[in-house]
Amino acid sequence: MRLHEFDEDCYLLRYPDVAQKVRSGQLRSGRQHYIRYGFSEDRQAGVGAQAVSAIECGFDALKMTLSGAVFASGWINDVNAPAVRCIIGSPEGTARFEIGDIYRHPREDIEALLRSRARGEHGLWIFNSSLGPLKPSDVDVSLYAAEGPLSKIRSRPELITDAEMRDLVLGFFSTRTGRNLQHADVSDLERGLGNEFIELNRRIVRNNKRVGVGKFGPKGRRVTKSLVVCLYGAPEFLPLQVALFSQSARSGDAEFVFVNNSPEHNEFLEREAKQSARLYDVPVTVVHTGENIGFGAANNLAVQHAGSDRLLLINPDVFPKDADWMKRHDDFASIRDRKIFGARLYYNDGSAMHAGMHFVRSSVVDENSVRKELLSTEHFSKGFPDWVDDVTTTRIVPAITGAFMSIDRRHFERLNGFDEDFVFGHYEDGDFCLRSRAAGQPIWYCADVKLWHMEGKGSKNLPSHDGAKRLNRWYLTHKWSSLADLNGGNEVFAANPGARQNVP
Amino acid sequence: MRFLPQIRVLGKMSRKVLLISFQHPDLVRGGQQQICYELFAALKKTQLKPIFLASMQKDILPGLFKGGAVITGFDGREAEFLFLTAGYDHDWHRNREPWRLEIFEEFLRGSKPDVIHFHHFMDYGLEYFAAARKYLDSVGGRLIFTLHEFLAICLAEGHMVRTFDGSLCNRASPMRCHQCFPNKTPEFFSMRTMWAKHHLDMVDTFVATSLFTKSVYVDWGVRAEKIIHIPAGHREFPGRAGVASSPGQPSGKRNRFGFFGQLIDSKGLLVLFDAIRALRHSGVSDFTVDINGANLEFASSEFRQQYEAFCTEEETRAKRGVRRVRFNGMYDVADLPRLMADIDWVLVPSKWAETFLMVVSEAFLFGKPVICSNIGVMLERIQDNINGLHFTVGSSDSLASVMKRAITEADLWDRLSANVLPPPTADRSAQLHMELCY
Repeated sequence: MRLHEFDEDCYLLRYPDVAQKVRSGQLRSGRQHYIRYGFSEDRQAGVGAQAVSAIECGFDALKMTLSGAVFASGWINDVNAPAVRCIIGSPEGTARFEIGDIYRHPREDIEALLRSRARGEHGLWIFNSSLGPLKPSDVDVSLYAAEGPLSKIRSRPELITDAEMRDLVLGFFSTRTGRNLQHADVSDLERGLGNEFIELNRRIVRNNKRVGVGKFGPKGRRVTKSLVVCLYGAPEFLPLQVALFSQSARSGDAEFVFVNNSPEHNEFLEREAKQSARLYDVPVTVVHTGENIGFGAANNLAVQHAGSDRLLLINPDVFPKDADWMKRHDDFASIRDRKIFGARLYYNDGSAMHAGMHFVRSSVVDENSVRKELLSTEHFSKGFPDWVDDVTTTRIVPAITGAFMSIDRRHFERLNGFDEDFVFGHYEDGDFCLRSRAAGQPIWYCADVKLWHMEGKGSKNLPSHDGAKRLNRWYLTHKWSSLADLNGGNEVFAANPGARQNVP
Repeated sequence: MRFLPQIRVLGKMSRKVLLISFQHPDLVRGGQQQICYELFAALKKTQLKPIFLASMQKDILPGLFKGGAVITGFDGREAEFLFLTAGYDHDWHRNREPWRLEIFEEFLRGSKPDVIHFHHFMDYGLEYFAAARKYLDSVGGRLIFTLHEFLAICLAEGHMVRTFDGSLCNRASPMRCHQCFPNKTPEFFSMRTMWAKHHLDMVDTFVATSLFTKSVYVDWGVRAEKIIHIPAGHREFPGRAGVASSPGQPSGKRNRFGFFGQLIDSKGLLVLFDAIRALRHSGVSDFTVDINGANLEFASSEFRQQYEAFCTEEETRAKRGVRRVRFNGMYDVADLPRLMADIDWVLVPSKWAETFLMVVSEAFLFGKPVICSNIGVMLERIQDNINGLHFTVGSSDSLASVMKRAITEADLWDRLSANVLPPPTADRSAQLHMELCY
């Protein structure tokens, strides 16, 4: 044993008799004890392979990425001496997580294990998006109470990619259980977790907005409309959409731009795009990403490859209901202030799926009656018959769904497209509408343009997506809750200059 | 997609007709391929130049597959080809291997048909209609589709039989289909229907071999004026009238029954087996049943088990006395005179509505009355107590009762047989196709 490998925390945790003497002042430190007595008594001074702990605890997962993100989750029975600090030490350096960076949640499995012990938040986890570049090597994970060390373990973290880290932690976030969970979510997101998610996602988007572009079908055709579709997990929708949309009246000057968020489908989609373009005689572009960069970023990327001034952002599970829908679309789009509008969408059972959206404020409360606000978006008359006034009336609405958005390209670009900090999908459409309104452009709902929307069938859904939905809802709230009347007209923004500051 | 105006060149006698079949009847027996091939054979006798393209899956006869080839010849026969298929998606009825379609398109450009007549899209894909349409628009040709089964409508093998209780389905809808396939959403069925209708819209003329089939597709949304009714034709056999008027057994009894068809679940064989057991249980044992057919490998494992169990029963019984049930195996159309000579009645216990039933034509060809389930196309082709007898679909007791009547009622066979009219000939069917479709 070389003295520089001596670990004070482990020595005191391993030998309570020494810790007692240090606490009582008989010894200055554990190191002093080791030099005087411990070495000759053959006491273990290094960290060692086994965890040393003064309390019951354990780690279930320890993951890192080369770019410097780290995630650890486990449990601890620290009712008597609560953990206030976690230190992860590696040859590259040390990362300290103070009490505000340690997330806690109840774990029924641990409560059952500890049986008669007091109920508490035994679950413990940490997540940081940017500790800095790491090398795959052993790390020491130490937990401290205010009074001193609680446990120490040496472990080799599993190395994963940034995207795997995002999916893992968002999945963990969405599946954790607890009391007053919505409130706990918001609290954790507010105190730093939200920014960590967004920072990691930015890195993924930045590093994966690349890869190839395939262009198929007739060349040199004048294109006045670009149907932009973000695919994820369900590639079979490409041929279906090209076949059905190409049958629409006035589709002769339309093109398709598919952006693929599932790299495992690249080969399949290239083949399908080539075949569909040939069979249905329409230009088809396929843009591949390196990872799932989310709905907003993918659409922003696809728009860069669109060849027209009118963007029709369409979900993969949207299909034409009326053969003349595109003519009606073109007529509506030709009116001067119709920079952005949505369509009448139908469920497959014939009831209304979308007739515009509005914002809803709600609050969540914890066991101490502390309230936190959350925004969300709701559809007007969702599931109602299609003859109710909301559905049949073309009008200005607070927002429209991202399942179908017709947008003037210059307007889209002026707003820098969707906010890419919304992870995966959800709520970026509402945010875009708010930014449009803040920029002076009303949001229209056009009842004459009718399409089907097989909602939720155009992509796969994973626990990480649910986690992202919670994150995005918090982020929308974070951006816009200061605006008093989210559903008012454009005068609301004029009266709230602060709202404009939210526009990037 | 912009389609060019249709150009019909009547009287152009050298027109080529590409007939597209699901499988070749010489490789896998089945009604659709038989009907398609009979039409091909009849058209060969006209001024038209027919080409027969039949699909083949690798797992049936892998030795037919050639590296890199999608379309190959067939046993050295002129104008007969195989489409070697793989990657078929039965949910969407599309092919997941687009390169096969490219070769199909190349085949169209090379063989230059004026008419493309699909008898099936299975093994090819609905998108092949789009390729055919695109090609035909460039030459002013016509796209024809003969409706066999209800595959575009129904995911349950196109049989329109409810999966959970075997009852007949009279109407497809996303909700009803979801009931049959709870693991697939109603939205899936909506999209599937959109996909199918989009491609069927490209067809110039549909051919329904029965009015019943036409009515099902019209109810589903195909415009009635686009569907013409042409019964499938059968080749003629020299001297068939003599067979029809044959007296039967020396005893004068009309107690010999025959089943002809595929040995698969939907054909109702298990109902027949139970009826045979019931007949014997009621003391009637003086009858014979010939089972003629193949494709047991395509039946469900449950069906195969019960089929084998019945075979074993009969084998045991035969060892104790006279063999009453004979399993004759696969037959060829050329075998029909011999096989029909040994029976009096043809049994058709199908559990689904069927769309034409070539076996009824075969029975009528030889003057045999038909005992059939009382549903679907059978009601159209067989009139109860006129040229055959009906029994309650799926009911072995009902079938046993009808078989007992057939055996015991004096002069019944003679009366019904006298009302049997010859089925349409393949030549007549070909002539109607030329006049009405091509």
